This record gives sequence, structure tokens and C-alpha cells, in this order.
Amino acid sequence: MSATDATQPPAGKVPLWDLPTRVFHWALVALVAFSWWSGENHDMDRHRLSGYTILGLLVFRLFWGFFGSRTARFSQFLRSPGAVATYARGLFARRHTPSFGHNPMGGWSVAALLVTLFTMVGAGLFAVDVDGLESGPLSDYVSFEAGRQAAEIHEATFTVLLALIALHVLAILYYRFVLKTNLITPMVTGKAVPGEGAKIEPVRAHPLAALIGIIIAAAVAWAISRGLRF
Amino acid sequence: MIQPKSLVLALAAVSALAGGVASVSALTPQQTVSLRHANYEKMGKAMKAIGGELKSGAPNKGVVLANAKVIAAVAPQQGKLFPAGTGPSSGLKTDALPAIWTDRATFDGLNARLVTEANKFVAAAGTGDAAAIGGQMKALGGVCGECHRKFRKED
Ligand code: HEC
Ligand code: HEM
Repeated sequence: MSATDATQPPAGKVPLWDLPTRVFHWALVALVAFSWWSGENHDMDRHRLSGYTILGLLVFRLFWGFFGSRTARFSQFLRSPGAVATYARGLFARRHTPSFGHNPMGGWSVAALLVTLFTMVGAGLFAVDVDGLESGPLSDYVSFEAGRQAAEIHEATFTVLLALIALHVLAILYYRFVLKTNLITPMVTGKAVPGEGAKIEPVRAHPLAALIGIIIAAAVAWAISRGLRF
Repeated sequence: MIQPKSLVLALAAVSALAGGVASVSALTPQQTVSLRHANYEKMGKAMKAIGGELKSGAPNKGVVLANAKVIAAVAPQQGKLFPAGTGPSSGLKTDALPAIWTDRATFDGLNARLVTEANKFVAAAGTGDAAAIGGQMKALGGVCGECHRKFRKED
């Protein structure tokens, strides 16, 4: 990043989140909700379908964390513990140091959500229900006992996921009403007015990179949904 | 499971040899609970094995039939493994709900249906026809699920 980019005065709204990141986010919200509903209602065919789609989204997001635009990259938003501590102190003193992209705490919250979602999906793939009737596509490779264990991990992880989502939403509300910063609209429109002093960086998604990511994600999700039988 | 596997297996073997009924009354409540758990695990394992065959598209008739017979052999024993004093109030580690002992008729009815469906399943397995096996698998699994929703604590 050249110094001239970083010192340009904020001129209205600038791109913050690229399209794939936003589609990922809102598709994930909808599908996590749907997976919850279908799981509770034992609508297993649709629960599995929703899970495979989430798996595809997660694989894509992993790819995008390396090849996506600036604000979507892990290297940009996974910051040192020192940076997180400094930011947290400011936050609780109600001093908001604007970030362009994920702030140092938000970045780790994203990582925690992604790891938890991967665990959730991973456990589901091996899970077997108590009737031995419904199961994930990879359960054929493990014993009934291991499959039951996976089902228990699947369930326990969901509690963790709900807690993280609650924290996530609470944090957004804290920004909205205490720090007077709207994080929701940018996640929809992709654009934001940069906060004063924030270092603006160009956000550009490469269509070819996105295409490659989508193909990889779809291939992985499809192969796993078939239980790796071709 | 807290019980050592070997004890459970020995109990299962004893109960099989003694024809189930006779030995049950001789079991302690803990042994009874362990035995019914071991039996349910056997049925679960068999269901999963059959499910795996069905998923492959071309089920192996021998594997399906052998597992169907495991379920049909275990199913008739289960109703007797819920004597008074083996419910949650006994302090034993069990997911059995108190309703089993207050609504025994429904519980016994489901056990009877389990035996019927398990025997039908052996017949279906004997045909080797994937569609017939799949259809009867759903009917049998449906009884497992119905009873678990009514009489087993949700985990
Ligand atoms: C008539 C009711 C009933 C039917 C039918 C039934 N179950 Fe169960 N099952 C139970 C109850 C009650 C428990 C809880 C037992 C306990 O924890 O003491 C249980 C527990 C289990 C467990 C867990 C055992 C453990 O180690 O905790 C498995 C596995 C299981 N059942 C499999 C099956 C399968 C497979 C079928 C159908 C082929 C089936 N059950 C049919 C009532 C039933
Ligand atoms: C099922 C529920 C939800 C899940 C699983 C979830 C998950 C996530 C994930 C993984 C990210 C990171 C996105 C990325 O960088 O790719 C994220 C960011 C974000 N989410 Fe959610 N989310 C949920 C609900 C919500 C809701 C209800 C809102 C709005 C009220 C919301 C608003 C946001 C915002 C504004 C960001 C960007 C945060 C930042 O600036 O650091 N999310 N969410």
C-alpha cells in the first residue's frame, strides 16, 4: 500500500466489502437459521442439503481469505494480541478508533465463527442419530459409537455457535447505539464512509479469483455430499 | 458407557443362552440398564450398517440379512428390560423417561410394533430388493424414532 492511498481525504462512500463477502455473509445467516429449523424438526434431507451449501460457503470463504479483496483477507484482519488489547481498552472507554475493514477484535470474532461453523459442519458429516436411520455422508467410514459421538459434538458446538452469534449481534448493537457507528448497512451495500483517521485501502475483488473459488467450493461440497463415492 | 465392555458382552451372552426372560429377573438394576443399552447399541449398529449398504446403491444381500436378523433377535428382549426400579429415579445412568412406567400400555405397544416391523424387515432383506429393503427400513426406523421421542430423554 503506498502512502498516497492511505492519506487521501475521505470523499463520501468508498467500497468496503466486496460482493462475494457480502453474499457469503447473508447466505450464511439464512442457511444457519434454516439448518437450525430443519435440524430441530428432523427434516433431515433438507438439513443435509443446507449443510452442504454451508460447507461450500465455508470452503469459499477460506479461499477468499487468501485470494479475496483486501478487507476479506485473513492477513489483513487477524491482528496481534497487542493490537487487540489496545483496541479493546479504547472500545470500553467508548473511544472508537475507526478501522477500515474488520477491527482488531472483530477479526478474531470472524475467525472464531468460521472455526465453529467448520466444526459444526465437520461433526455433522460424521453424525448418526440414535435410530441409526439418519446420518451424515461420511458416517460410513466410522463406527456407530463414533457417529453418536460426532452427533454429540454437533449438538454441543451449536450452543457455542449460538453464543458467538449473540456476541456478534451484541457487538454490532454496541457500535450502532453507543459508538454511533452503523456496521450493518455496509455489509448490505458494500460501501461505507470511512471513519476519520481510518486508513483507506482499495477493495477490489478479482472475478477470475471468485470464479476459481466458487468452482473449488462447489467441487468440495459435492464430493463430500456424495460421501466421497464416485 | 461406564460399564466395562466385557461385562456387558458377557451379560448379553448369558441372556442369549438363558433365553433372555429367565436371566432378567436375576440381574441387578445396574446390570439390567447395561444390558438394554448394549442391546440398543447392537440394533443401532445394525441399522447403520444396513443404511451404509443402501447408500452404496447396490446393497449386499448377505450383509443386510445378517444385520436384519440381529435386530429381529434383540427386539423381543427389550420390553422386559424395563422393570420397575430401573428408571431415572433409581439414580442409574439412563435416558429412559418416567412415562414408560406411567404409560406402560403405549410403551409395550411400541415394543410389539418393533418386533413386527423387525420380522417384516428380515423378510424384505431376504428378497434382496433395494426398494423393498429401503421401504421397510423407513417403517422400522419410524418405530425407533417414535418411541425415542415419547420415552427417551432428548440428548
Ligand atoms: C418401545 C420403545 C423403543 C423402541 C421401539 C426403540 N427404542 Fe431405542 N431406546 C428406548 C429407550 C427408552 C432408550 C433409553 C434407554 C436408557 O437410557 O436406559 C433407548 C435408547 C436407545 C439407544 C441408546 C443406548 C445407550 O447406550 O444409551 C440406541 C442406540 C437405541 N435406543 C436404538 C434403537 C433402535 C435402532 C431402535 C429400532 C430398531 C430402537 N432403539 C427402538 C426405547 C425404544
Ligand atoms: C446466523 C447468524 C450470523 C452468522 C453465522 C454471522 C456470521 C458472520 C461472519 C462469519 C462474518 C464475517 C464475514 C466475512 O468477513 O466474511 C460476519 C460479519 C458481520 N456480520 Fe454477521 N453473522 C450472523 C448474523 C448477523 C446479523 C443478524 C447481523 C446484523 C444485525 C450481522 C452483521 C454483520 C456485520 C455488520 C459484519 C461485519 C463485522 C465487522 O465489521 O467486523 N451478522 N458475520
